[in-house]
Amino acid sequence: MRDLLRRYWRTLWRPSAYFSLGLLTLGGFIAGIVFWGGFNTALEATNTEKFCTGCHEMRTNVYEELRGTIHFTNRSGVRAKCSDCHVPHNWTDKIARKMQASKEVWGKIFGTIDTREKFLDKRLELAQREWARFKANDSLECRNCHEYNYMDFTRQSKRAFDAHSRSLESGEKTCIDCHKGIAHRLPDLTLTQQ
Amino acid sequence: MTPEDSQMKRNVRPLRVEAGSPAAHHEPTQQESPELRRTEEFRTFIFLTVIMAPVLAVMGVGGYGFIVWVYQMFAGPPGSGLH
Repeated sequence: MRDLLRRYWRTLWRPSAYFSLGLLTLGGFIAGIVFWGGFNTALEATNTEKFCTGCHEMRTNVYEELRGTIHFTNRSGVRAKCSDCHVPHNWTDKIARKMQASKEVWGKIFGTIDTREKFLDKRLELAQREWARFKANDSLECRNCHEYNYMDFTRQSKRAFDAHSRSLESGEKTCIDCHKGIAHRLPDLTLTQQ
Repeated sequence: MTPEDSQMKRNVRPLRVEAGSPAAHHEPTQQESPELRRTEEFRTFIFLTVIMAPVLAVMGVGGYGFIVWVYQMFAGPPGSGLH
């Protein structure tokens, strides 16, 4: 066994006697293309709704609630899926979020929110984490679709027009400050006052 | 390389490799027939491109993600630094 390892170790570091540089370089290059394509495909697969709702924690709680909202079904048929709002689109932040998901795997294995009651108990914490994230990035995931510059104020209600032109334009407020609980139900907010 | 190795190299004539060819520096020894060496080189190449490089790349990207996560624990969620 040690002899075998030593032979392969030597093969690893000396020039190839039987395979041309062209074959080795091109072979490595093509393998690199295949790998990168596969990597991105796998990354995208983890961004699909099917993947997210593969766990009953997501399917029976947050996804079920989303189904009734305007972000799921509306007159124009444009809709938001989980990752549109909850996974950063920027590469570095996306990779960091994917690694954070290892904690969700942990939660899945140990049943952290495997019943509706546990989910409701934990919901405020979960929501506050997302709110803090939206607040910090100036509601970036909202703005990926809803652009302030293209809002036609004449088609907004008086109340919306007032709020948007006063607080949103100045940057004093960001989307999430007012639009909480629009895609999923609000947590029990009386808990925040304790 | 042990002294025995170099001893062996001097005594054994190359089997198929002609002097002056690129492979002449790496004369096969007694334990190593050209067929074996070819197989070993092929397996090493496949191992590097199909297993080791992808695994290292995924570990690198994953490690980077974890580092950014730890950074975000102190600096706040993405976007905090810009304000």
